[in-house]
Amino acid sequence: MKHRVFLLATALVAVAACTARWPHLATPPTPSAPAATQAAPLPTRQPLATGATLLTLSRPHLPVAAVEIDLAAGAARDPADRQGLASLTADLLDEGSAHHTGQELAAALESMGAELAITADHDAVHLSLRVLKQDLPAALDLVAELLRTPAFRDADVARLKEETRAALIAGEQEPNTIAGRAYNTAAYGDHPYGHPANGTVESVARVTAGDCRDFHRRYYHPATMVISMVGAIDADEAARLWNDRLAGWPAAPAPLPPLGEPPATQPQRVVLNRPFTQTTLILGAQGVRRDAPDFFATLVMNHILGGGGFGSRLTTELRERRGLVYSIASWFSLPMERGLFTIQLATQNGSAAEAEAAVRAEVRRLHDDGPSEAEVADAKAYLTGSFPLRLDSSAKLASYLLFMEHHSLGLDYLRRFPELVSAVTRDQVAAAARAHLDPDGLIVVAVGQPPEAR
Amino acid sequence: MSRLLLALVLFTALPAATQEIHLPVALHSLANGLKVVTLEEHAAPVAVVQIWYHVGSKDEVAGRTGLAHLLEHNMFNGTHAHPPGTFSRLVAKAGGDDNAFTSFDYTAYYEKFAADRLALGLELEADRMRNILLTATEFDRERQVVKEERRMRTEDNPESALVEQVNAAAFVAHPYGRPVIGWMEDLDRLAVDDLRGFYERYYRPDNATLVVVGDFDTATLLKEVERTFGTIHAPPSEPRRTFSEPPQRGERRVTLHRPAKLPFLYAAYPAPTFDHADGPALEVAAQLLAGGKSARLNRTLVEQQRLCLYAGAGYNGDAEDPSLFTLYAGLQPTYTPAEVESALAAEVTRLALEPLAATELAKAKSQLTAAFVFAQDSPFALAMTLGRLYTTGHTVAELEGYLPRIRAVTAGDVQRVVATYLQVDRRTLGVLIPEAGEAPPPRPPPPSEGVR
Repeated sequence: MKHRVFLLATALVAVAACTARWPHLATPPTPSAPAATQAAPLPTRQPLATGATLLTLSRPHLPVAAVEIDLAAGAARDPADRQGLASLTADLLDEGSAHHTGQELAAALESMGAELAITADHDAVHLSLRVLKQDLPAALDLVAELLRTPAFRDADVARLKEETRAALIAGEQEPNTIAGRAYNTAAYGDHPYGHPANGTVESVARVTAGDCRDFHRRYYHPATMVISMVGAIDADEAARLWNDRLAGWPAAPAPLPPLGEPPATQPQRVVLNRPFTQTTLILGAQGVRRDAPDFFATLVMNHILGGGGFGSRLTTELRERRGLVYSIASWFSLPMERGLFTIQLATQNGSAAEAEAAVRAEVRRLHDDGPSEAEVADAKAYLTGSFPLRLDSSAKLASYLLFMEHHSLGLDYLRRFPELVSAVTRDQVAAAARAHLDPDGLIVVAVGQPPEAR
Repeated sequence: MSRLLLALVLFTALPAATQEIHLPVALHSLANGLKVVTLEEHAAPVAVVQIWYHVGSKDEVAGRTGLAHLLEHNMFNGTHAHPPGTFSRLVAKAGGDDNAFTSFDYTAYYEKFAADRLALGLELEADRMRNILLTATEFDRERQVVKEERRMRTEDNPESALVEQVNAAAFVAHPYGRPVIGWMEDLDRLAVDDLRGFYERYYRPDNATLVVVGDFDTATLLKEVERTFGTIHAPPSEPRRTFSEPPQRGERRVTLHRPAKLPFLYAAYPAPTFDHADGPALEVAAQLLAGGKSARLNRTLVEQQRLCLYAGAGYNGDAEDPSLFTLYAGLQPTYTPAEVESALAAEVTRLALEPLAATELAKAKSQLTAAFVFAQDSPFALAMTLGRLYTTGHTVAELEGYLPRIRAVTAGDVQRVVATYLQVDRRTLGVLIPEAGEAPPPRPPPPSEGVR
């Protein structure tokens, strides 16, 4: 919500100054493999005394540290009648602690030039900190303080509820937001992933400061906390910094109940008539778990279908042959439980039916016939060759270490990745296409004024 | 090939042990006029190749807006050596990413690779500098793509649509008033011959800067640059058109009625470029107003007065010609644009007239210093900075001077530039008034309409 300020600033500058050939897609990063020129780094993993897990990677070329933290206190834990509670609780962390007001916390961090962002999705609350090395201890003091002792003062809760309400209303003028929320609900139904992470105008209105306090007491514990530190810091120093700051934080009373497997998705059609010149289309269905045996074959398969930008079948057909879209992409999301397979595009309203038919035809073709040997070889070459690009900054590395930890991929995963991708065969990719692409089982969400909405 | 090696030492506000950051930028030029800027950076095994052409939307003529950007799209459509459809596939096979972007002042193309593949980027960029195939069929299809891009970025985004209208009103003579992506009507009017003329005139070695940043050996790289770009002939050049904007005398107002949910306010004030003596103080002023949660606009308009969902400011000192200082606010649904307009004005007045605390000024400078250091963690961000500087006629000296100039800004400087540039009589103020939209009355929602 409040982080919208910075997102919007960036968007406006981009609009005013620049326009690109290809959008920066808000899709999850595609993991792939390092080139042979330089060995991939090996992080250190340390369990801390309080039950938190610390991952460290020393990268001393700049006097900067990137810190990524998450705790299993995401929207999947929202009570049924308090949707948006986890997100509001996360937004309130830096609005005031036992010892400081929100403005004092912000002024202290900003006086160091530190940048702190707090967000929540269904699985977790995420804290992302960038700070000069010289200020790291002081910045971590503040981060630990706001995590452990948020104040949830009535006035701040009321103000954040008001901001959340306005942000939810503003979201109703954004085609991607409208479509994404409708798709998520259609795909997950009553599963804890199914409601919008930031709630609804009605559900957020019901949240009280007491709800936030209860939620914090129940779900903010070091046992589910994973910390990743990358930059001018070594593992021992990082462990000392965190052991000091987490000491005395009680462990969780009991392990969290599992969220459970999301139900199988059902084909359905959601058409939302909104005053846009384009129709935003989402087609999708249930995806795969990260620990599925055919995960790598699925990764290669998606790259061929629509994960790879230019060269992918969807971009070739809908943009390069037909000129129907500026951007189209497909991806498999990888939350802790099974995620979704999603294709998204926008086209002028009159072309919506043609675009949807073209997407369906491509899904069917890959499902029925599988890929060519050449497509598989090219996809593997890209996925194994481009890995260093995904990890070329401390912040990107820090985020990736969290992903590795959550999915138990092992500390040497960055080194093993090339062989895991290279081992995939054409037949395995064809099998993954048959298993995970169901041309007749797709959920369709259309937002705009396609002919069918009139 | 002439060669001049500069070792840059940037001093930041760090303790002695970590105070020096070396940016060993090297400058070269080829006989055909191509500028080459290289920076070895070995922290990650990657390299970025960027080619910057000194041509952007400001070089278009009225009635032909969107030309520079549409040409950028068509630059991926093939040469004799690399037939249509192969460019990005070759890059991807090498594990690389490519893209391009167009601005008012420049058009740039890039490839990012694992470091051992970067020669392919040089080869592809050298090839398409003079050899692109422009066919009517490809052009027509790409025009459809760009019109979809415009629908997404502007037509269906009410804030962007207002920004476009305010820009158009803020500049009466300078082409910065025209949208980079082009007016929809102009996109329909453009022809492939317009593209061809533009390409032949501006895509040439003596109008380009090649920037390479990453994990490579400079001497080896330069041999490869000479081999790939050295044989390109530079045709006779035409003089560059220049523009200036007459002084603004009196406020301009823009109202936009669009389907939207929340009102939005956007104010633009003419402002000099960063290399002007007032540039650093304007940069600090934008930081004081909008550099984070504790900055003034958020603290007062969002948190204390609760008028806005968000409020911000921006100083575009990076443009080649004088551009804009902007203020903007997304309103809470219960307030009117007039109320927020006066609250914004009050913040400008307060910054111009009331004493500025030393701690607040120091905070803004710390933020700018840290952001400058953070930006060096990404080879791509470094290449962007270098490319922009050299394309718009600057050098690393500007980068070197950035922090010292920021540090020298006084409270008096901030008050003076705010009083000078952020005057009501010099602004263009835009207001987005939401309307319900042209949608027909909604049908009864289907059971699956799950937004609420």
